[in-house]
Amino acid sequence: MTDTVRLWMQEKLDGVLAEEKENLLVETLQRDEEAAAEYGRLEQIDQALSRAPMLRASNRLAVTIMARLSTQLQMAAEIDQLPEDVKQAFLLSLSLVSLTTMPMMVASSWMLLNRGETVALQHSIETAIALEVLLLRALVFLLQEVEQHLERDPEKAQFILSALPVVFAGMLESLMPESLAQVRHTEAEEMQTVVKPARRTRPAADMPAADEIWSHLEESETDARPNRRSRLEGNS
Amino acid sequence: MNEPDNTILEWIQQAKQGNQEAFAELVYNYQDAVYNLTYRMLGERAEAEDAAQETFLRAYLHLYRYDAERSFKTWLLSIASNHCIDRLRKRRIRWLSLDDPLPSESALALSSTEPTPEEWSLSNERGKSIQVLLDELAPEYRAAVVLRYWYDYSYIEIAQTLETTESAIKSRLFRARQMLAEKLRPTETGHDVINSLLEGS
Repeated sequence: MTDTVRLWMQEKLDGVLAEEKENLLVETLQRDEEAAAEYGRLEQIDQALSRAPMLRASNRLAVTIMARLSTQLQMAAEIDQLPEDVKQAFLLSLSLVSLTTMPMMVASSWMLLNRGETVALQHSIETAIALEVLLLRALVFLLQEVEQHLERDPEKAQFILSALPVVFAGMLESLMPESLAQVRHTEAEEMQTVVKPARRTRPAADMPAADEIWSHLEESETDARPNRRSRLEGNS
Repeated sequence: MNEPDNTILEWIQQAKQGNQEAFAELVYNYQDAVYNLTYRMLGERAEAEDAAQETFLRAYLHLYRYDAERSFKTWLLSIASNHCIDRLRKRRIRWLSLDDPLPSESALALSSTEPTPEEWSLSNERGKSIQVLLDELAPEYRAAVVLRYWYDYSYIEIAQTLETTESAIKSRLFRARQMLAEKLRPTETGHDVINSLLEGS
């Protein structure tokens, strides 16, 4: 059976086969058993699909759509009403978020291309995300503190803001001392030596597990927050 | 392809100007068509409803792109098809990334949720079998088959909806039907599925 015959079969089912070709198809089907069997199967499929019912949407679908639309529009309107500098700060923060995820993307691509270890990749992504969440929560907490101090003690607010990088570095140092030391060692090594092909990186097991970070996160949720707050208030 | 009637055009015009009531009329008018497509593509009620909602939200946000020369229904179905194809691709990536075994035919056929009144026709074997048939197909092929059989679209209308060429659609329908016809061969595992489909119809 040729592809032309198969094409005629399809066109016949779609009702677009020219009359002369239809006659040729009929002749072919009469003398070719294999073609006739295939056309029979195609016809059965065609009939079954043609008889399938049209489904109706539930009554609540339209209501849900309009509610979601209303919420989205309201959120958009709220952002529109923000002062221009706040909007720009918002855009800047979005750009920073994109920038911070870039190293993760590059590292993930590298691991997939060079090592092909999905477990190690998953481990490192989970760790990175857990760290980011931890740092984000710390940032939110510190910014709340800044907001509180902004009016009555602007200098303290500025001090907290300027201390942010140090606080973050300190947190990283305490969470992953071995990993950071290893990174520094590797950087120093790379400065001195020529890059060797297929050099093995440190195993993923050396990195703190994401679980450890999450548990630290939970502890900080319950304990650290009131302590930090009381410490800061005590200082003032 | 049907030209959009004046009432529809009026609603579209008002919705473009921010009139949500006019857009609600459009939703009521086309929700069944969109939902049927998303269900046939995704095979799961909750996901199909979510995809239908997403389709209308996207349509509202991109109404300014709608060309009044085209059928509004075709434009909506185009958004819905592309969205479902994206979802199916992501679903596949998710399976692969989690190293999970691919779900069985029966698991793909329908979700385990109770059938709703509007889905009464799918509660029988025939309805399930049709969904099993569709689930056999790659997303792009499935979209072409759904538009051909449930919307009675011509090659060119399907091509416009899926933003591709007429010959690509011919080829997709050709291969889709062949794949499904293969299941009718007695030696194939899909034979029982097809038999129940044909017996039920």
